[in-house]
Amino acid sequence: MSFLSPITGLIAAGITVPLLVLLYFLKLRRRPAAVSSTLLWRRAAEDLQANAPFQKLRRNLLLLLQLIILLALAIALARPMRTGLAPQGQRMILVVDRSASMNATDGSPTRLDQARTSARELVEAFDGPGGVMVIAVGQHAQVMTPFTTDRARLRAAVDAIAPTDEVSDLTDVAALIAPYVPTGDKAADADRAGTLIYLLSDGLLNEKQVAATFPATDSFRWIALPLSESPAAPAAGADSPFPANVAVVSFSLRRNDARPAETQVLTRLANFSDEPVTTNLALRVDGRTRHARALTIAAGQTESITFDLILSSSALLEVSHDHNDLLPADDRAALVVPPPRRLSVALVGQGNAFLQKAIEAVGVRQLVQMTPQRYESVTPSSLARRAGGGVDEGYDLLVFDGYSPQAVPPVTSLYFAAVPPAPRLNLRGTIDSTTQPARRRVEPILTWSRDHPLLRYVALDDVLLLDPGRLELPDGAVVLATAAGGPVMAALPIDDRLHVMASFSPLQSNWPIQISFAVFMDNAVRYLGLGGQEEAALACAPGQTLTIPVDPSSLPSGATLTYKAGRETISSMPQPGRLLVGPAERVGLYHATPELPEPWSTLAVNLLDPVESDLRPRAAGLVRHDAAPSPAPPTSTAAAPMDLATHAAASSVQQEIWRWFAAAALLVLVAEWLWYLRRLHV
Amino acid sequence: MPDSAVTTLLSPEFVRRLDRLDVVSRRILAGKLQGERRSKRRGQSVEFADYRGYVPGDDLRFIDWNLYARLDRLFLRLFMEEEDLSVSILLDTSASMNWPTPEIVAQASSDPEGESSVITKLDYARRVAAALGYIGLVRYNRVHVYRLSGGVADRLLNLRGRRPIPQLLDFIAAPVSSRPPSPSSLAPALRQFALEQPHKGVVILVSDFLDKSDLVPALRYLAGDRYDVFCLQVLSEFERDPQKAGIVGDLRLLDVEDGQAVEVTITPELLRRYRETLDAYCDHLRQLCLKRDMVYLLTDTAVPFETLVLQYLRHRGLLG
Repeated sequence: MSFLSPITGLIAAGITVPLLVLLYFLKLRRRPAAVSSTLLWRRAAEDLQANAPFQKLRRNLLLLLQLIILLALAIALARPMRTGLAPQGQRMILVVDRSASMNATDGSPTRLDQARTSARELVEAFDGPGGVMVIAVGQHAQVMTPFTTDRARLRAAVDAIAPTDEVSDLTDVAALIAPYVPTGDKAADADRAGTLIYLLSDGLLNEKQVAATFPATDSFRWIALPLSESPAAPAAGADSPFPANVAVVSFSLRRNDARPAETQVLTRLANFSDEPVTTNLALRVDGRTRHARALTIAAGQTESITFDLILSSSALLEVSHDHNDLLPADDRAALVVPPPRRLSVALVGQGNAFLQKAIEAVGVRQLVQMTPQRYESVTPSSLARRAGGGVDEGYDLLVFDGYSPQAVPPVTSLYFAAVPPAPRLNLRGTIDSTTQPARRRVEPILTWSRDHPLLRYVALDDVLLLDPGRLELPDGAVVLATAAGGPVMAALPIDDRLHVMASFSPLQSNWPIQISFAVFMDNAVRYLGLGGQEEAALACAPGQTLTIPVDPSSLPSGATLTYKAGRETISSMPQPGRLLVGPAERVGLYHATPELPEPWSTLAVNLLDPVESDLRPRAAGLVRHDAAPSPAPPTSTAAAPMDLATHAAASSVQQEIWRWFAAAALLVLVAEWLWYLRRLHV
Repeated sequence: MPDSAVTTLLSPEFVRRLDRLDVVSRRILAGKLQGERRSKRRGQSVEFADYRGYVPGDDLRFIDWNLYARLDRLFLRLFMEEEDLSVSILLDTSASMNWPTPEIVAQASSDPEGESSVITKLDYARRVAAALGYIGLVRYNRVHVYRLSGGVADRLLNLRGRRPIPQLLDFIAAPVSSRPPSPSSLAPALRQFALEQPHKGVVILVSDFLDKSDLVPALRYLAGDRYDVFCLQVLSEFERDPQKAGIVGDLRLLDVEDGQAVEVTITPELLRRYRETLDAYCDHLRQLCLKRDMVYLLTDTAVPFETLVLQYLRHRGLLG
């Protein structure tokens, strides 16, 4: 505590305190009162003094209280200042990261616990009139409490932030805090000024999202977790290495197209540390250990392991390692493998040999070609597969070649030079080559989403498109590829079924003669044909919603489908002909209640996220989340990395606290007055 | 009885009720004149007491001739002698009895919750003395009244019969001469009384007994077979509850008798101690009286005077 004007306070205390004491040393002027005899009074007073050893002290209580009042007022006059964490501003937004990495046990005990503790400290210290808003963010953002000054409510909101195993995504946060982020426009920023935004995170966030979400001003501060004083988290640069975290970052299964019972299980483990790690990897099939092997992973490297299995029916695969590390959520993964299934695909169009060959090469059970007229004559409900239906019933994928259906098909579909009739979804700019040959143009594909399962291992560098159309996309669509004129390939979920559109015909490009076309069709048929699931196994990531092709009417009447794993529960929402399950917040194996037919009785939720698993402290800044860990230094200017100590020094504020002393003086004055009255009105 | 002193001290209605009372002595004490009280001596009343044999010289009028006719022996009839009773009323008129002061009374009266009929201990004691003296005179007892203040300040002796009632009341109601503060003690006054009053009789001492000197030697002068002593301690209601008299805060308490000062700060604890001390003092006085075969009576000015005389004193055996 320091003082702004100590001299004033000293002078005030120097004058008043001795004066008060002097007044007390002067003889107290007592009011004379005549009594019949002082005999009894003298005896009573003598008795009292003899029996009360602290009588003098009690008599001086008034003096003591008055001295306290004077001193408190003198201190208030000296204008005391407090240096502290106390954030100053109109209002404060606390964004608490609760993604999977925040469950690392290098906090106290976890990083999320530390975040909650820091959040509580900030809530206690903040006294802005606008209040505090608490947002928890994982895959989605959740407003734990809107702006309020009610500390009890804020504490409850902070305590209510539950851990998840989700991957952090700041998209929702951006929308929530946008009204409070300065835009650079002075007029508009006048209202937004004074809002402090605190991010309590370990920094495993999308750098671009951070830059887009949070302002690059002093009003945004990042409290990097784990805090440097954590016992389990050595500070950067210390001699002891950071505890290793070994994670299962990939777990997939691929069936042999020719012999579906033969499967190949692919597992990749990553060692996120600066030391080589040896661990034991175990693969269990339906609970029985089928393979176990010791594995040494070099520092900072990944190791892929392949297992060959014969799975002629549905199975539950689990992989786990026994390295005792900071994050248990990524130590195991599971897959629910449905019985071997070969896909049934319908190709709607006037005939396209390239497409036909490419689909057949994937190894589908049947490929039905039909003209648009025939397609429209088929009952829509007969197109879709149903759980427990016959093998010949319905299709797993519809491919439309140059024909836009009149209604949105009830099956996952792939469109070339066509789009489904969805609102605000249009295909424009397709030029009839026969009428205007002079205006034809050739466009390369400029960018594409390499991480999307559809475009994995697909190189589009040399693809040239002849007069590609331009997709006008509604909200919710994901652009997969872009040419000079705009999006040329996009994915749009309609009624929870994915529809992938390309604005061009393969015949109007050089793509079919490139290897990437076959790879794309292979990806598309497998990914889309299996209902958006990768490979031939069922699993989902935390935060995802899963569609289960089970008719809600087949459930016992009144029953609601839930998946349970220990105390964790995933609820479901019935939709016509199917059930939406999720999102699951924690990883694990969930079992359906009531029982469902295989493979839907069990649901595997796996983290499988290398960024969330890389728990090493990042002294350099935020990491890129949409790519492999970036070797380049961070370019974000939004948030400089800092631990809490640095942060406190940087954001420490001088706060005048004379009001506290004035209030204390007032309180003591009231107490003194009450004491005096008590003496008077005995 | 239209006399002003009578109406001041005793209301006519109250006087009528007093007519039915008499001073009762626990002992049969010899009087000098014939009165309305049975004596140990044989005398000339109409109440038969005993026979005795005739000896020459006896008054022939008392010979029971009927008995002589039957037994042929002379017997003398003896009758109860009725004597008067000596009633000495000792009224303490020291300065401590003249409390609460008019200022305190005025302050208490101005208090809306205060009682307007606050009287001093002396006024109360005067009324008691007047009532007792009246009863004594009406019953043909010999009444002596002493006013004590340091010593026997004044006295009115040998009153008997209804005729001196106004004189008695005037004497009791006479104002107390103001004198400079000086310690007043009961001991010299009682010593003087004992010397002046050698005859047996009932002694009624009306005082507050707030005596800074020891009470033992004072009471010793009244002890013994000679007197049937009733000690009536009169306290003010303000002495029982000092807050009513404005005794609060930081005070310099001045003794109205000797002018001594005590500086106190009134706290609940001190008040509690004061009440305990007062109770202990009264209990001490009661023990002293008990040991000396005296009757101790305690009252305060809050007790209605009529209640005291008509009920309390009768109950305690002073009046019958």
